[in-house]
Amino acid sequence: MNERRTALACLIPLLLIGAVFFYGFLLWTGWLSLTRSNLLPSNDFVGLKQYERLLLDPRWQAALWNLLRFSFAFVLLPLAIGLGLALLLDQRLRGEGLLRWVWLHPMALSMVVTGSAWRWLMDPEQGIAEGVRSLGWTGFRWDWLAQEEMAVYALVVAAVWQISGFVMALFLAGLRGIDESMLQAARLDGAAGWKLLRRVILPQLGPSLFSALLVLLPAAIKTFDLVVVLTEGGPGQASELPAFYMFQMAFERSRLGLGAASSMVLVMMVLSIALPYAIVRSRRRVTA
Amino acid sequence: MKRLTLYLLAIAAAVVVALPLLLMLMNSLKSGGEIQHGSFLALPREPGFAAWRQAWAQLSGSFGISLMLAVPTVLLSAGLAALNGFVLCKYRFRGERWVGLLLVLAFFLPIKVYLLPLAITMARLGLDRSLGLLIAIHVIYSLPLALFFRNHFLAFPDELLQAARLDGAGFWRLLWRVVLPLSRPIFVVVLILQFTTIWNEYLFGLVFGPEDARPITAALAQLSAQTETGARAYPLEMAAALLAAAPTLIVYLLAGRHFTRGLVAGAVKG
Amino acid sequence: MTRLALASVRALALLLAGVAQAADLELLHSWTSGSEAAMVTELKAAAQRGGVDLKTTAVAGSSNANTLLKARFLSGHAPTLAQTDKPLRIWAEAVPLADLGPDVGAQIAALPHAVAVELRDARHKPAAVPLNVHRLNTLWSNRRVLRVHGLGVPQDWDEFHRTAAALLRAGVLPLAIGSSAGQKLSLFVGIVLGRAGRDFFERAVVQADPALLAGERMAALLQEFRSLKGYTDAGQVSRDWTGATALLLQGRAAFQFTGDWANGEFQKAGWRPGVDYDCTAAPGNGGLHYFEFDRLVFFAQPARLGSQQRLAGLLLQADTSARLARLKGGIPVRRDADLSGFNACAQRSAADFRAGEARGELVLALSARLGESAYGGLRDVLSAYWASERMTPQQAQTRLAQALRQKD
Repeated sequence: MNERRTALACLIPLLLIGAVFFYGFLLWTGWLSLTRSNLLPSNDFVGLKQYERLLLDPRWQAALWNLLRFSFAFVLLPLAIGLGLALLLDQRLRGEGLLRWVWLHPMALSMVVTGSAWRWLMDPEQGIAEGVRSLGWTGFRWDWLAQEEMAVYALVVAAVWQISGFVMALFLAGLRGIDESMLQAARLDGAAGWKLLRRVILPQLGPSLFSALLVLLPAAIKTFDLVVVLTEGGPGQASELPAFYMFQMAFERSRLGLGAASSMVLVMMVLSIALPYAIVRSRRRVTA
Repeated sequence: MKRLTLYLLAIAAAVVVALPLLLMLMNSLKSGGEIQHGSFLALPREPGFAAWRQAWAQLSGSFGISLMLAVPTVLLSAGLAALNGFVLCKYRFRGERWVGLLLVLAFFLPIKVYLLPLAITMARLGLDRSLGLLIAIHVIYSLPLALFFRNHFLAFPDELLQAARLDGAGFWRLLWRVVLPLSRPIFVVVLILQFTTIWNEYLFGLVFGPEDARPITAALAQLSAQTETGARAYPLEMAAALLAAAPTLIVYLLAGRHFTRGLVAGAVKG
Repeated sequence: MTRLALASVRALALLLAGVAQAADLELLHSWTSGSEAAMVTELKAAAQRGGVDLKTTAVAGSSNANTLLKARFLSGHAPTLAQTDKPLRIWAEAVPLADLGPDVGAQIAALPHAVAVELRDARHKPAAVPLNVHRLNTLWSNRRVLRVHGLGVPQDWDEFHRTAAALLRAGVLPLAIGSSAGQKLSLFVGIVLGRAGRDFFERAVVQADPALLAGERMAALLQEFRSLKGYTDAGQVSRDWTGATALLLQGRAAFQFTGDWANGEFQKAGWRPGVDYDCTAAPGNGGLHYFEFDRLVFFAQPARLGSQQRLAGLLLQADTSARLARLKGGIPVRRDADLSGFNACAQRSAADFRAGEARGELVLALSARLGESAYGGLRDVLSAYWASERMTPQQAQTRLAQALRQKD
């Protein structure tokens, strides 16, 4: 079959390249994490020593805890906000196009711009806090960037602002995909307002919710640029996230082995979400 | 009454979401010294476009570079994704389940992890920094996009393809005449997402892009890092940031509707 | 995007910059700001005058220059020499260094001991050349603001606290500080040297004596360190050291603890030492000179050894050395260097340096004494402790001991 041969001739080389670039380098990083590489990569095998160092590092432990706090808010808030905005947008308001753009636009921005914008806004001396103070409320403070406990939530604010629009789009797609006849039937049965929402609409949004989670969770784990621009991991190391730690160790601190170990842990965290999903999908395909 | 509350709610939400960029816009119209002593929420005393002119002077070159980077990358990666997605879907081969699995996983892997090994490999291979290198790297790492198309093609009835085959169409004709036209909504979503990703990406652009011809995000980062005196030129930085963000903002303005439509068509399936 | 993180990535980029070495010698450095760049220009000129073909490659940010250096070694395109602020032995352990020869060795032996010892590798062969000395334990005072409130420059820490309290009452920000860990380290060193003295510093911090680190004195020092936070403002998180100096220049703050590079900022603003601003040793530090020095390390490249040795010799000459130091805002390394043309602050620093050297009491900076992990760990602990409301001095002590014990 000529057609088939052409098709595969296109596909296979690309897959091979992909294998090297995605998995080959991953294996190399994995190997590095088992050596005592510091300044430069070395081939001295040290087993799981780097991982031991990693787990004992209070800075890494703090980064993991921060990730937990961050992810919690970063997943729940956009879901709620996105759903709300999608429901609003679905009401066929006038100026829907403009509204959609306004709510979607943060997603068009790079993390650098997002982080910079929010850094200015949250500046303790010159940002929104100063603005509020100049309006008369002289005791107002918004020092999250300077507070150990709250710095992570500064990250949350910027990140949620950025991603909520995308979650809204997912829910909107889900809403628009709901069968009209089902809604009609339900309305004829007397369901309206909240009941309609709860009984009919929300259950139909399952796939959208799933897609949203599939996007939000890995995104949380991979958050890096935002940390660099908004807080630099500070104050101290109070808002460090694992991806930031990885970068610091590998590049600025030149502890390649440790950086590689933290990379592998990051990858494993992401895979723990992706793997079940991928396996289920591949099974489903065969039976479909 | 209910409509009124809905409108009020919508407008309030819109204002809150738009606030950061609006404030940046307002502050970009100020003169340098104003922000030192005032706050970001104060209106500009003498609004002017000096910062914008300066920003344009510094960034205009990078605009072109980013375009030269983004357009080929996006077209190539979307095209390849459509091709691969189609083949993966409609042609059986040994180990295809594994390929599918690995592809899905690859979609989630954080590519920052690859920065160092990639840099070292490229250096060892003697490859120089260039736009071509950057494009190639971006295209390679966008291979998992094929999944979007694969999902979409799964729903294709084979009869369409059979009919075309009976008409004597070979592989390429099949792709061009039948498959691509039917995957337009997905194409749009992929194009928009890819364009945004490439336009906003700076890490790889910084490392693999040419030294004198930097993509705009790298130029932006460079701009904010190069203050000679202690005072940061906020209006300049803000104008520059807005300038850098303009193209993607416009893309979403013009194509936002298609974006949602594409999502409805199942670009991101559960 | 912070300069550091940005440049650490740019460093990787230079990895790929067409590395065919056209020039004979290549210097990799991170001297990119105004005065630093001027020094590099002079360096190249000096090399040229001496008949050495030198090319320079600049990367912003010292940690990033280090990153690039490593990357260059990885890919097999190492430069011939590089600016470094890491201890020489770290490089000596990783890569082979050049032997600069007996002539250079003799010149180095004539330098202050604390400096000379850092220029030789494990086999006692000279492998590095110093360019200038920077004092790190300087207290910069805004004399204008102090005069307005009838206050003077504090000579010890008790006086500092009294002055700062008075300033607070008067509504002036006593201490300007930036967000970097280095700023906090400067403060901490100032307190340890000022309160506990050089010996304690050496034994506790440099040698990481566990008893001293866990002891009451260290706890008290840490306590006092964080108490200084009360004299700073919340805006410090988004500012770097130049921003802090700018606060002084704007009349909004009174003191800053940072190295002698701030001298350049004051001079640019046209301020006069002794009148508008002052540069004294940190309170209680007396004549102690806590310093770091810029140095160039030469890597083993047999084909180019001759040029390397010649360049090293050139850079060690008295007049070249003095010129380079003046351009960069530091003081010359050589005891016999001519100090005319240096401003009052530099002269004072040089006097303290020479006196300290004569007494054998120079204190070399931690960045050059501790291993990389220990140094990084120390900075982490200090900045985390400074930022924290809840960490107790005892907890900081434990973490400090842990950090300083790390081996690379």
